[in-house]
This record gives sequence, structure tokens and C-alpha cells, in this order.
Amino acid sequence: MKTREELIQDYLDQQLTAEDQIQFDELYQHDAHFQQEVASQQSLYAVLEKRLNSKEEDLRASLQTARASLAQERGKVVSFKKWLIPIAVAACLLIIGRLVFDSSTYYELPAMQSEIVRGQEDPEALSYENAVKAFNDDDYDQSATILKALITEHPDVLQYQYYYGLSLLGKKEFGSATDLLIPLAEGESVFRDDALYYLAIAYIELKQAPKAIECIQRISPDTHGYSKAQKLLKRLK
Amino acid sequence: MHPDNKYILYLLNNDHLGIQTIYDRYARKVVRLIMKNSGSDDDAYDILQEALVDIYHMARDRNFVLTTNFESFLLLVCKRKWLNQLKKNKVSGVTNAEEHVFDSIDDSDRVYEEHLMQVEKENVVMELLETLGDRCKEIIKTCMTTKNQEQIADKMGISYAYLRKKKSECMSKLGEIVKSHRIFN
Repeated sequence: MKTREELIQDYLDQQLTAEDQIQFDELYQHDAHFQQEVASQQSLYAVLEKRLNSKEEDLRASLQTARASLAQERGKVVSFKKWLIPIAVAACLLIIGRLVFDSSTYYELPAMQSEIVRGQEDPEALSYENAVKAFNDDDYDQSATILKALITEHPDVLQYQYYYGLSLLGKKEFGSATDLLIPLAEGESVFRDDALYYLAIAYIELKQAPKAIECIQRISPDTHGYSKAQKLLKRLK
Repeated sequence: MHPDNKYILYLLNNDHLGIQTIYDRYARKVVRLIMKNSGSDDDAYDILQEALVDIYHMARDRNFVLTTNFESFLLLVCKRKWLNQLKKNKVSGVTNAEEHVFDSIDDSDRVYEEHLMQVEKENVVMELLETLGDRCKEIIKTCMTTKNQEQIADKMGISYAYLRKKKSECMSKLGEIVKSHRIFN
């Protein structure tokens, strides 16, 4: 004779023989506790069947991939000391922007990227965030001052140099801006294409159109801001 | 159907690009939520991943309907998961600011309560399954995913009768553990 547990499992798996079925029915009709056991196992069975036959593992693999991809980008943003701003973010700098000068002007400065995931206790991060706020509030005097101080302490951080260069552009100190942007435009960092674009802007303001054209022509075709740069080139020619 | 149902479909269809979109769009919000509540960056990504798995399971229920925007729903699920995690870790210190954030999504909490409770119970069952011995886990998992149990018995090198007997013992044991868990009481 089968145990109660075996009868329940056979019932759930539809494996009861005719003889077992009689025994099962008998118990079910007269034993309230057995009924509860059946209900409880039925619920458990349903959960297990649902979960174990889901494609959760496939989904998890996709989630891991997406997480890794984002972490890679984010890691690059956070580790900007290693020149690792992701290209996508850097490229966005050409796209996300606000008019800085008159509405009649043809260029914008980008929004300065915040590093909100960094530790708030870090004085360097706090200074940087202050610079972000100042820059995005169009207070280029303030952002330039903060970034200049940061560069003194951390001369290897290209991100500081890049935004310091843009702050100088915002201050309309075009000659000084070129001093900051030229090394970035000639380097291999992720700031290269953006630096080339804004260097071209500085040259235009300095009435050095040939140099501006040369800069724009050096911008990689696969960068997000390429078409915008080409439009600027057309205007120059 | 809510326009944000597309995010649910991304999960249901394991749409890689869609899932990447979810991460790109919402991960930072989850990170902010968790980091303001004693969590780390890694905690946030773990919670986000588990929340998305939960949403996937909830959405597989034909009665599930997304009634709010996806962001509210996702943050709600993340919030619940993180609070459960904090309880588990006996970590305290939810900030006022964060309670405010949590309060703002309480309305949706009620709408989804039944689904949220169900998925939490299911998660507990799956966690408890993992506490069983290897043999029991193997038998339950295999029997639940393979129709032909005689074939399973052959592969495991045991008789069909023994497999049935062992399965009933394992399921009974799991049933007892589940019943004694606080979430089912």
C-alpha cells in the first residue's frame, strides 16, 4: 500500500492506478488533514512547475549582459582618471547642449557630465560636482576656477582639461581655450573628437578658418557628432 | 494597455536590446534609490536584476496588468526587495529622504500587492528548494521539467518505483519546510 505522500504525488502527476484512485478518494472524502495536504502540495507543485519551466536562466543571462555593458560604460565614466569616459557619453557631449551665446550663434557648449555615482565624501568629487553645477548654470568663471584648481592637483585627468577648455570657450577666452584643447585634439583619448570640434569653434572665433576646417576634417566619421561637424564645415567652406 | 507595457514584453521575450534599454534608462534611478538607503552600487545592481526577474515572473501570470508607468513599478519592486534585504541583514538607517521616495510609490504598492506577495512566496519556495539535499533537488527539478519519469529513473540508475517513492518523500519534506516559513503563516 502506498503512503499518503506517494498517493498525493501520484495524483498530482496523474499516475494513480485504479486501485490507488479508490484509496485516494477514500482518504480525500473522510480525512480533512489529507485534503489540506493535497491542497498544500498542489500549490507547491504549481509553483515548482511554473518556476522550473520558466526561462529564467535565459533572462538572467541577458540581464547579466546588460548589466555588464552598462557597468563597463559607467565604470569608464567613474574612472575618468584613466581617460575612460565611454565613447557614447563623450559623443553625447556633441549632441546634448545648451545655447551659450546669442541665439544667432551656430554652436553650443555641451552639458557637463555629473559623476553622481562617486562618493560624496571625496573632496575631489565634490569640487568636480561644484564645477558641473557652475558650468551647467553658465557660470564659466566659476567652473574655470574650480577646474583649474583640480588640474593643478590632478594634471593627468583629461576630463578636467576638457571641461576647463570648454569653460574658457564659455568665457570667450578663445586663445586660452585652444591651449587646453589642442593636446586633447591631438591625443587618442575619448575626448579627441569633441576637442577637435570645440577647437574648431575657437579657431573660428579667432578668425582662423583654415585651422578650423582642418580640425573638423579630422573628426572621425563614426562619432555621433560627425554630421553636426560636417554642417559646420559646410558653413565654413 | 499601458504604453510602458513594452518594457514588460522586453522581459517576457528576453529581448536583448529592450533589456539594455531598461538598464540604460532605469539603472541609475535604482542605484540612487538603493544608495540613499544604506546600499552600495553593487547592491543596487543586484536588486535591479532580481527585481526584473520578479517582474518577469509576475508578468507571466495572465492576470497581470501594468497599471502604472514602468519606472514606478520597477522602483516599487526594487524598494520591496531592498527592504526585505535590509530586514534580512538587520541593517537599519533608512533616511527620511528615502522614506519620502518610498512613500511616493505607495499607491502602486496596493495595486500590485497580490502579485508582489505571490512572487515573494514563490521566491521563498525556490530558495527553500535549494536547501534540500542534492538528490532531492535533482529529483524534484528533473521530475518537474521532464514528462517521462521512467526515462528519468533510467538515467538516474534507479527504479521507477523508487523514483516515485523518493520524489514523494522529497516533496513532502519541502512542503513541511515551506509551511513552517513565516511568509506562509
